[in-house]
Amino acid sequence: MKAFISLLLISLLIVSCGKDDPQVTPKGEVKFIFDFLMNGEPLELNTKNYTNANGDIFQVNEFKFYLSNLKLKANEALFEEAESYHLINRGADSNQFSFTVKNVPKENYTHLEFGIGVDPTKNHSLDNTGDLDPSNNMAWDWNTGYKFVLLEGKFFPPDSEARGLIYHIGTDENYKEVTLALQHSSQNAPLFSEASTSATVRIEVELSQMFEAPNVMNFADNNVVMMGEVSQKVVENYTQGMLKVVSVEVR
Amino acid sequence: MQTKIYFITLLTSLVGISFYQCSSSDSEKETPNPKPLLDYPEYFGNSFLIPEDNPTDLSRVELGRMLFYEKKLSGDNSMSCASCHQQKQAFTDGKQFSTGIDGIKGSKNAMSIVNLLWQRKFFWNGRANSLEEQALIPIQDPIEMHQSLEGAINKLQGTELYPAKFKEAFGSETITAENIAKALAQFERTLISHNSKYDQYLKGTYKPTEEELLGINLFFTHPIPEIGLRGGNCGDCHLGALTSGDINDFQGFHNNGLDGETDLAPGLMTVTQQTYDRGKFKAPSLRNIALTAPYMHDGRFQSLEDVLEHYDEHIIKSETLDPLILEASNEPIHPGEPVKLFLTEKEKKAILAFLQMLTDHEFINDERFSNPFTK
Repeated sequence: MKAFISLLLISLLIVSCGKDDPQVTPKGEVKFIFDFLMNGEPLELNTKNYTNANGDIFQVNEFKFYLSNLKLKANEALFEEAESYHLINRGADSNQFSFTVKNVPKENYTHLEFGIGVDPTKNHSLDNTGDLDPSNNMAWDWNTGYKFVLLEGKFFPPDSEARGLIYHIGTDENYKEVTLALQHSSQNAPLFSEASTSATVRIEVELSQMFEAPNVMNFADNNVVMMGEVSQKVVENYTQGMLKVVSVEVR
Repeated sequence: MQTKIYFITLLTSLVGISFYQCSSSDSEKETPNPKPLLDYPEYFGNSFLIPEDNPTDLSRVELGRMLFYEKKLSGDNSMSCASCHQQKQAFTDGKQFSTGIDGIKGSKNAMSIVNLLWQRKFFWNGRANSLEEQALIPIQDPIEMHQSLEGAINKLQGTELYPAKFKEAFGSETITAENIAKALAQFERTLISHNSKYDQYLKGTYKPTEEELLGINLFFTHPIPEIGLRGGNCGDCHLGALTSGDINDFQGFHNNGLDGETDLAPGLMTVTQQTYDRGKFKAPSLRNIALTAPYMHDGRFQSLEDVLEHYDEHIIKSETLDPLILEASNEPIHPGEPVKLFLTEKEKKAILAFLQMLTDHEFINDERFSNPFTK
């Protein structure tokens, strides 16, 4: 009888608090650190003149984007973060942004997958909480949804006065998923070792890629990009090589 | 039977424990929501931080309300916070510049106090990082209430009313500047406006007129003439249902083209010391905007019509002019041309109709926010 009761109680505990139960699979946490770069150098806001692949001179005042639906993939395991929406913001004081995902089952993850932007389900739901709060200046309006990637600054044409440089990329068809290999010092080592409880994944965000490859952007024609065909070219650019995993540390 | 009782007791206590564990781990994620003092609709979101050492509490809110209307907080006992922040005018005073106790006029328009729970920078130039920090500044400012904190504390301590009220709110009869600030901040956080016509529309209880609906759409749209998308370009700075600025760093501060290079006011530059912040001021909430004339940081515009005319065709260029204003027009613009929105008369009227929708009569008549000494 006592054994039965204990069993019943334990199962009750698991049902009510299953996510915290340490007995299922050992869990750890993964910290993601983003470093913002322009042409390989730390991104400076408001003051520094940069030159894009087309030879246009410009400055950046603000840069932020949504990283959502984060998944970690191993051969036989998949971790999907719940309510996964992260506003990756190059803040005024730091060229680095980070967030930590907790309660990640320790598996031999080899790949990281996520969307750039906000998926169509959430894009029109006007979810006001956390990173999706409109007070982050990433919501257009209820119909159009969110800006997925925002870059604002100035463009200095050679023959006329300064213009605004505004890249606001969004709309459902531009929501794209990106897969990055989790490269280790020793190839294919697990993200977690048996003894480790935390891992740090460092990601470089190379902004020049937004304007460079495969589509070279010409600011004289496209200093303002919001929606439309040109935005798709920018999406093609930033989904191919703007984000790179540069190191994975296991502790 | 014994086993049964043992079972039930154990079950109850374990369920209790498991509940406790769950709620304690969940609370790390959720911001505590101390209703009903902070009563707000879901669409305002939960992006606010209440200082951990000043959790919302009725006795502190009530004390804060008294202090807000307390003239002893000024040097000659003639002014309170409410002198320049009057409820009937959505906590403004209707003047271009307010006059302090010594008859000296300030240089900034008194800001409306509304929905500050969702704000992180205070004053037109963002020089305070919390309401607690903000609250003590006008009291001491020589051109405003001109009262030393020491003097204010002495005056309050000498009353019959306040030592007991502070004891109730903070556990000690000894009044401190910190606790004055905490109480004032708590009262200000309860000043939430969420029953305007626009709110009723968002809650589905009011059907806007065609003109109001056009106004809402124009307000929140950045114009893109290439695809025929018309917009008033207001929502680029006045975000979402709160119609207030970006909450990250100083991204909610903008140069909105009021002045040219030579007479640009320092604004945010006073705080950051950065020349690229020259002429930038806080984008305030537009809640109750029809009640808070005159407009802009220096109260230069008498009416909302004047404000709209400014944005439509009187933007003055300067180095720090916001790129989203520089690059906004309903007609294709060419380098070197003046910045103009090219709104039609009908569109301007529609935007004004939307701004009128932001007036909340319940808020300006709410007993809980009124002077507690005049009952």
